[in-house]
Amino acid sequence: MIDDTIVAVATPYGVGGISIVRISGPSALKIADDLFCAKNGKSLNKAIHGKLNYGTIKIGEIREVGLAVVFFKPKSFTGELVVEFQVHGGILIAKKIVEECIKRGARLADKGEFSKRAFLNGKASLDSLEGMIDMINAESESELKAAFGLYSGTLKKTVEVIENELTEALAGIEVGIDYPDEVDDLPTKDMVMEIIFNARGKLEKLIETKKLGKTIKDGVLTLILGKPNVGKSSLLNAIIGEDRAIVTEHAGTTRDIVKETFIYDGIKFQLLDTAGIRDSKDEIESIGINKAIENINIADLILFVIDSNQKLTNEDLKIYQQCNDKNLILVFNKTDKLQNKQAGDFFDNFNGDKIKVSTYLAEGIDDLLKIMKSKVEGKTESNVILVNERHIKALELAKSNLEKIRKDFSFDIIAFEIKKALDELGKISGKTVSEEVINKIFSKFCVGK
Amino acid sequence: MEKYDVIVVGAGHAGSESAYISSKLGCNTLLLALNLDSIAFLACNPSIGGTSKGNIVQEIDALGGIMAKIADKSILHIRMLNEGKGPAVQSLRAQVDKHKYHLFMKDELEKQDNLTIKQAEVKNILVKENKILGIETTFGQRFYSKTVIIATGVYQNSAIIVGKSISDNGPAGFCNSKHLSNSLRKMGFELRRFKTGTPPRIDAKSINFSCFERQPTNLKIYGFSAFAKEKKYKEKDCFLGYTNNETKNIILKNLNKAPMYSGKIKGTGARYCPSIEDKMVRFKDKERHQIFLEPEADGTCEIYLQGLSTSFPAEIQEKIVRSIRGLENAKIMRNAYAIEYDCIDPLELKKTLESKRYDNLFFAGQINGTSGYEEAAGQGIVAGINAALKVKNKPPFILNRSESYIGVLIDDLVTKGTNEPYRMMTSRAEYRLMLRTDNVLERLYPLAIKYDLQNEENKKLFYKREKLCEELRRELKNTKISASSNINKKLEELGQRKITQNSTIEELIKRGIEIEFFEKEFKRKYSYSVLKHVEIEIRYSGYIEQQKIQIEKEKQQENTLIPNDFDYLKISGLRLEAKQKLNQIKPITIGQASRISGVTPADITVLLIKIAQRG
Repeated sequence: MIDDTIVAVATPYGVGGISIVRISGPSALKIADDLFCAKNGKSLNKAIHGKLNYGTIKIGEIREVGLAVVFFKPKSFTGELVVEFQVHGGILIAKKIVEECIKRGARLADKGEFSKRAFLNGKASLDSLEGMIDMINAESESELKAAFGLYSGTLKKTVEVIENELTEALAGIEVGIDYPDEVDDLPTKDMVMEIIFNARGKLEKLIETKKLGKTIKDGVLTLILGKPNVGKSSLLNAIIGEDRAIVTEHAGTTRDIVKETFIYDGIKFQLLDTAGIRDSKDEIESIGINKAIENINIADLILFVIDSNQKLTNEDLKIYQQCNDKNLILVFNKTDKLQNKQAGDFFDNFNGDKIKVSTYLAEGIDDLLKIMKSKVEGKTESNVILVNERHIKALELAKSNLEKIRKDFSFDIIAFEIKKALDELGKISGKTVSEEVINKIFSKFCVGK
Repeated sequence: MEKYDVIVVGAGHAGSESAYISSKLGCNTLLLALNLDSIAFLACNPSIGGTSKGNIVQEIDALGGIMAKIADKSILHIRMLNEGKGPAVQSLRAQVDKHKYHLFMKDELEKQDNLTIKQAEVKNILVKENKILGIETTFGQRFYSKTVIIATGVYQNSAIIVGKSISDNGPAGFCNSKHLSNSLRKMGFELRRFKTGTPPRIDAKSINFSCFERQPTNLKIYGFSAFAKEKKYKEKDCFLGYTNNETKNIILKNLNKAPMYSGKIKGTGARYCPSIEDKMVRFKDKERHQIFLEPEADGTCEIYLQGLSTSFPAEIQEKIVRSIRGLENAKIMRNAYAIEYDCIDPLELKKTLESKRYDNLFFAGQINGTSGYEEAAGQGIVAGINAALKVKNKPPFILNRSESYIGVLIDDLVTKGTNEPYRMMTSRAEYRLMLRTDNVLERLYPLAIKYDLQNEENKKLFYKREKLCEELRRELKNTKISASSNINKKLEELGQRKITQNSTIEELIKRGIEIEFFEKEFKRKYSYSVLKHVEIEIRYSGYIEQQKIQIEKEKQQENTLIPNDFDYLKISGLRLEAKQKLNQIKPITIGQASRISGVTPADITVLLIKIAQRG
């Protein structure tokens, strides 16, 4: 399987002035050498590991100026023989080079195949690889941070702390079991229960970050709320800058929910335009309304829109009551038109975050975005953020094993459940339980004949 | 020229077991001992069993071995360990009369058909290419055989160390095996040097027992053997005492005289079996260490001082002993000593304990890097059965990790190897909840019957037990108990909800009530061991189910065989450490490969891919 040579453009599409083409596998050097003509006339076979070589790359009749770097096995990203070409001029030239490599026997790499080879060659552990993949797929800065946390082992370290405490408790139980007569300073059941309780708390905290992880991955769920025809869809369009939702003068035209994702200053937002909330007899529209009310409960942020030149109605207040305890920004729309005093009073007396905008003139939108950012900033940061399903599942199972333990259980069963929890945590840290416990026993307790 | 089926070299705990079972299986067996007066000699503590070790003794018994039977005849003191910690971790431990143990074993072996016992030291293993021909003794006699089992234990090129004195000797003044190491080395085996030690024996007449806590024997337990019906032993007490500050001061002040610290001892000792000087250095903050006084035998005053193993010079040993309260006037009858000996790397062996390099050559016991009589005997029976099967051209006998501690022991040895004398512990068994003392017969009798290791009488007893267990299970399922205040009081004590309707006994046992509580409800009388076995099975059924799922998962890996011509060094995806380890150990299955230390899940993924590619 790892006997063939793969090639692909290694830089993101359409980004940056330099593209990198990576060739990995046993024939990488042969293929690259055939394409590359060094300025000093030396063959790439004689290249120094990791050093840049200046020259030209043959693309059909064209000679493209570029750099070539050779990484010898196993000191490369994939652990195989790797050659990378760095060329100017964006994606097109890079693609052509890939084609040339394929002509010479390389195969186009599948998505993530370089990382997969790194894993198979023992260059990356499973969790750092998962982090790497998340990093590659990251769309926003905070997403990248979460992925980086994983990649650099922050999650692993956090899990290891819990693991160590549990391992120590287990070692105490085990030494009591295996050396029943010899050790007189064993942890009591109360001590063990306390450690379990603490570990559960730590796991719980860690698991809670999965919500944050989801927010980071999917974007801050931002709900645009308001009665019909206050300009919710126009607000959405103004924010993302394109005509996406249907906007008409008739009230109630947005019947379904319209979703848009955008990134503002490193934070990903998922914007939901809802059907205007009012008691509707139109069946399709009322489905939309029900959905809007449902969404209030899961939203991270709500933009509550009122029309500044209409009297504030009971409907407005009703909607406001539905969501006044949430993370909310009051958006006072249509300021380009004459303003209504009553609505203005409401705005002036409103204590929370508020902003006047004109979606028509595209005024105030930038300030709105700043407020939106400030409302969620800090909340998307944490030492460790769970974004990976596999990790979430392992932590949840570990927690549930610990929750099963009761004080009246005998030590053989308590040990069994702790071990199961540790097995789950080991899926993240990569540790095997029994060896650890045995080492702990001998380093902590004095036993012998 | 005499020709045997099996020659067993060494008549300690491994060798005795090997010779007993191979002769029982009809193989013409020769058992060679350095000294016939040291057959099955208890060179260290006069006790058999202990946590997980007691289980091994019972496993040997279920497989038709002899250790349990001999131990039961020589018990001085017995108890069940870990009674309060749950049935899955309980084990028997007995003090035994070391004289009787030796004599009963010798007697039993002498009575055995097909078994020749002889005093001789083996000088050479006779080999032709990779096949074993037999052995040659130091007297120049040659004995030929189809298979040879090496079980020379700590006698292998051993040295006794006390202070500055190092003598070329075996344990307790017996001579050692001087020549075999060279023969093994010539055959290409790399020998390692391990170390262990033993405490002083003191004169009971010089002990003030009132300073110690008495530990009486448990009178309800008959012994290790499954079908032991009567108590055959005389009881003696053990006593518990402690070291103190003075002990500590003497030891720390004289550390430069301890061979362990002056560099005299080079062998690798076990972490779990440290000398008292080791304990004092490693656990400086500990106020006191426990000392047990154990009787060596009936009819002697010698008392074994468990906890005081040392290799200090004799005069310092005396000071240490006399610093302990109650031992102020103690007289040392035999000094403590450290012993160094040669052993092989168990990674050289297959799961049958046969050498990977030489066909028909087996190794069992402490020469494989283990410690303890029980671990030795467990290997002895497996090597003995496999040598016999080899003679008969039958497929090998391999115990799984999920069915016995012996299986865990051998798999650990041949898969992970060991860098120190290996001692069995319950925490080494990942399926500990399955490896209980109450179900040892259910675990291993079917195998014993399949391999014809048990006599007709025992088989009948086992079938009868199976039937009784079945009847009892049915009775518990079908007998309903009314919601009496008696029952509800019991449930309340256990922190359980009360019952309002009639419940089956099975349900009530599940909720924690002990089976004895209902004894009067049964139509017939069951033995205590049957009652307990069925009770534990019911109470632990949920956990047993979970372990079965784990075992099933593991089995899938165990069923994925690795082709034996796999050249790991050529597999590009493996890391260097994994390549070397896999190449050395040559695991048979993916499951075994995954237990090798230094082989990561990523390496296993690579192996699985490679195997799949080969179809």
